[in-house]
Amino acid sequence: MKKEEKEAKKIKKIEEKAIRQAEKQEYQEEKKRKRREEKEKGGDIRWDKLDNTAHLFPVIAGEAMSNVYRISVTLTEEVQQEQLQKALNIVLPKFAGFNLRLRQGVFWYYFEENGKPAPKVKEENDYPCQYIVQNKNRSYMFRVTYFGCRINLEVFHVLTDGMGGINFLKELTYQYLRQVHPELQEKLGDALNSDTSLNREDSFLQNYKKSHAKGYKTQKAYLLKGEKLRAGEFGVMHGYMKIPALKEVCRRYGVSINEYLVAAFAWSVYTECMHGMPAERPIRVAVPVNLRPYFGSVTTKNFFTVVSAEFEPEAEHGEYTFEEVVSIISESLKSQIHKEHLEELFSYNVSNEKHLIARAVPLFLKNIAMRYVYTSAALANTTTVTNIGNITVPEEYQPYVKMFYAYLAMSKGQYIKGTICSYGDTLVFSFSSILRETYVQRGFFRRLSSDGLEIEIESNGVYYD
Amino acid sequence: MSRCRQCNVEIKDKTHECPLCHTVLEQSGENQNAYPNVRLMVKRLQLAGRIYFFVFLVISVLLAAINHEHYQGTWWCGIVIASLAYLYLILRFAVLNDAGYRAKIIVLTLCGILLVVLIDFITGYDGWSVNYVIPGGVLLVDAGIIFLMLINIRNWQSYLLFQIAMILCSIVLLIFYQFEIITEPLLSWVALGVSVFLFLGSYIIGDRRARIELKRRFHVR
Repeated sequence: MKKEEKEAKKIKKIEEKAIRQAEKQEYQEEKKRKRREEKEKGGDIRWDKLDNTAHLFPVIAGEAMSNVYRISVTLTEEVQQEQLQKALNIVLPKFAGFNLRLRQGVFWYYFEENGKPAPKVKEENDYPCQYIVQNKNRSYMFRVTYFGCRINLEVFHVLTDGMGGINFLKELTYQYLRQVHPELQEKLGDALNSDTSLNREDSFLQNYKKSHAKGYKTQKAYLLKGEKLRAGEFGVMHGYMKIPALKEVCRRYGVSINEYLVAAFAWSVYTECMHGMPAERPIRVAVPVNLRPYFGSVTTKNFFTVVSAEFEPEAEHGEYTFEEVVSIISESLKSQIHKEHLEELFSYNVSNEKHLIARAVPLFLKNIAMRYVYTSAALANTTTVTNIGNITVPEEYQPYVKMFYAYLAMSKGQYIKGTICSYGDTLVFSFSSILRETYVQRGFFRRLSSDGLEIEIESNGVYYD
Repeated sequence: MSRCRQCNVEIKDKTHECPLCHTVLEQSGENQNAYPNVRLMVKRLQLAGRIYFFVFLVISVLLAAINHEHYQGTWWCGIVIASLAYLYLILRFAVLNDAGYRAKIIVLTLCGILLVVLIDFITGYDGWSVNYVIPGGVLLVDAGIIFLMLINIRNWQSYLLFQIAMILCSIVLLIFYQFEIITEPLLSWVALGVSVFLFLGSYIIGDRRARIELKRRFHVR
C-alpha cells in the first residue's frame, strides 16, 4: 500500500513538473511574440495618462485599503483553468485598457503598455479584493481567479470602474465558453462582441466645465465601528432576491430599486447601530453614479462620480418609520442625480487637476495633498452602495451563465459596503465588510424579508466561528 | 438549503448556524460552500522578523548597559546597534516587503550611507564616510543601473529617471564640498562624471526611445 502511495506521489510530481515546464515554455513563447510585435511597431511603448479619479487610487492604495473591486460570473459548469488561461491570453491583447502597467512620473502617474504575457490564472486561495502589488502579477493591475463554477475578475480601480470591468469580464467569459464549447466558436466566430467598447477617452476632460464650486460634502458622517476581523480577512455576504417581487415592493413605496435598497441600508444602520436614536452626525451613503448615460460616453476608463444620500435623525422628530426613511433617502438622491449637479461634482475635481500651477507640482507633494483631501472626503460617508445594474449577455451564452455579482474593498472609515448587481430575474445585494459582527447585514435582510421578499444568503464563511 | 426562522431567510452555505443571528438553522437539504476555506497562515518569515526584533531589543539594551558601565571614550555599542538595525531593515524591507526593487535599492543605499556616517562619527569623525563611502555608493548604484539595464533590456529606458537622480546626488556631494563637509572631492567628481556620462550615453544611443521616456516621465498633462 505504501509502495503504491509512493508511486502515485512520484507520478504526481512528474506531472506537476511537466505542467510547470509547459507553462514556462508558453510564457517564453508569449514573451518572444510580444517582443516581435514591439519591434514591428518600431520599439515604441504605448503610454497613456490617468483619468481624473484614477490619480487618487495609487496614492491611497495599500494592504489595508486595496481599492480593488471584484466582479464574478457563475457558470452552469465547472471552470477549467487551462481553458480560462487560454481565453485570457486571447482576450487581453485586444483590450488596450487592461494590457497596462502603472508607472510613476515626476509630476503624474501614467500607464504604460505591459510587455509581459497575461497574468497567471489561479484557483482562488485567498480572501477577495486583496491589494495588487505593482511589481508582482507580471505588473498587471488586475487578476483572474476561479473557484468551482465561478470566474473572478479583480481590478485595481486605477484602470477602470465597474462598467469597464464588466466589459472585460463578459468578453473573457464569452471567449472561455467558445474555447470550451467549439460549437459556439463555429457559430459566433472568435471576434469581440459588437456591443463591447474599447474606447479609452478621458470623458472627465471631454465633458467638464470650468468650476470652482465644491459640490461634495466633507463634514464627518456617522461611522460604523466594532470589532474587526483578523488582519487580512475579508467578509462577503450575498443576498439573492427575485426582481419581480422586489419591483412590487418598490412600487408600493413609490421609489426605484436603488433608492429602496439604499434606504434599507440606512434603516439598518439607524435601527441596529444607532438603536433608533438621534445622533450628532448624519448617516450618509455614498452612491457612485455612472456618468456615461448622462454624457453619451462609452469610455472604458473611469467615468463616475459620487453623490451622498443623507438621513439625519433629528431629536425633535422622535423615532422614524421605514416609510419616512425611504422618502428622505429617495428625495436626497433625486435632488442630486441630474446632469447639472453631476457635472458640477466632477468639474470641480477636473478644474483642480487642470490648474497650471497644480500640474507642475512634483508628484510626492501632490500625493500628500491628495491623501489629505481623500481622508476628509472618505469620512464624510458612513458607507458606499454601488449599483452595477442589470447585466445582460447574448442569447447564445445564456444557457451557460448563471449569475453575475460584484463587491468593493474597504476604504478609510467605511468598514462595510454594499453592491447591487442583477442578472436575469435575480438581484444580488453583496455586502463586503471587515467587521466581525453582522448587525447591519441582519437589519438589512430582515427589513427586506419583512417587506415580503424571499432572501437567500450566501457568505464566504468568515462569520462562522 | 437551510432556513433561519429568526431572520426569515434561506442560507445557502454549508453550515448549521445563521451568519446573521447565529441561531441554529432548520436543515432541509445539502448545501455547498461558494468560497474556499481560507485561513491565514502565519508566515514563518514574519515570525522570524518578530523574533529578530525582540532579540535586537534585548541585545541593544544589554550592549548599552555594558558600554555605559565600561565607557572608555567610545560609544561602540552605537555601531553594533545601528548595524543590527540595518540588518533588521534588510529583513523587513528587502525580504518581507513587496516594494519594487528600485525603492529597495534607494532605501537600503540611503540607510547604508547613514550607517557609515554614524560609524565615522562614533570613531572620531575623520571624514572617510563622506569623502569616500558616499561617492562610492553613487558609483555602486550607477553600476547597478547598468546591470539592471542589461538584464531588463526591453525596458532599459525606464532607468533614465534613476540616472538623473544619481546626477542630482552627485551634485549634492559637490555642494557638500563647497560647504567643506567633504574635504577630498576627487571621488565625488568621478561619481558626477560617471553619472553624467551614463545618462548622456543612454540618451544619445537610446535616441527616440529615451526622448519618449523622458516625455512620459515629465508630462504635466
